[in-house]
Amino acid sequence: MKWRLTAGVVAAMLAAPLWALDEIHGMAGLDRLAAKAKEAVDVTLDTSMLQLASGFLSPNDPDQARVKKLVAKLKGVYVRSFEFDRDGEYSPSDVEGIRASVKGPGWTRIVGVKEMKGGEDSEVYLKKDGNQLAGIVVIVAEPKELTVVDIDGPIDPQELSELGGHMGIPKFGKSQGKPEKGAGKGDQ
Amino acid sequence: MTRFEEQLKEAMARREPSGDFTARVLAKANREAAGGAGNSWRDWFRAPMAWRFAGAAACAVLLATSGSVMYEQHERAARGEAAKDKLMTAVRIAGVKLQQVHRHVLQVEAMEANQ
Repeated sequence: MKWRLTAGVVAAMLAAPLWALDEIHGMAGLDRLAAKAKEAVDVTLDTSMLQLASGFLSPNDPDQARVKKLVAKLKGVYVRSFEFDRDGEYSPSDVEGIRASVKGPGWTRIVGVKEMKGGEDSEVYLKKDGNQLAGIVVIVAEPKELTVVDIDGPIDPQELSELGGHMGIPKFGKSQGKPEKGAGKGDQ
Repeated sequence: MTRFEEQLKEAMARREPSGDFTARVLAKANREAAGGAGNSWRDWFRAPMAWRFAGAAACAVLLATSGSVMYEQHERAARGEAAKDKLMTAVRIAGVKLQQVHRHVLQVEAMEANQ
């Protein structure tokens, strides 16, 4: 009986960090979507992995040098992106874990755009620590695609926007397209 | 005595060695003695068993240590390159999606301005 109790305590201690990681970032509910997805991207980089990756970024490559500068103070970068063959392969409740994790103190939803016609739902949450930006979570839910980006740590939006026009990222700027009908802006 | 027997007798006749014969024999003996003293492999096999074992063990430890260090460096490089690729992918996705949201917001604002 005693050994069972000890084994239970040890198992709980071992499982706790993994459980805490998923709960903090609210991504536990998303990982099961990988089985249904046509393409899935799963990036989990904590502080130590970021430091390791940063050490391999070349200062001579302009793109890598920008990324090195951007991630210098970050604590973690987590990305889940799923592309499906058909509509309806995921439900809005799958993203609820993420939303719940960014409802705590310090978090603010700065963008919430719901497109009625196309079904695209975009949200951006910022975490502020005093006057400093301490984290950003981006959720983009499309009928056949779901992407969640969680950047943990102080990040300079200017540095992030400077990546536009590089690495295959479109340049940030004024929209050239006409506004789509049926789009409705959420709270900002 | 036939001609053949005369030739044989002449060939088998006693002759005195040349004057430097003794010097050449001594020089050759000295060369062989000097060469034998410098042969480390022969010395190695003549050494006591404990010394041979210690030497072999030191070589094995050296090889194992250097192999382990090289493997660790290779593993770290592989993990670092993989982490770098993941980071670049993550930043690219983050940038594309933020740009997508930005465009989305601009479209909505433009639409509201037109109404």
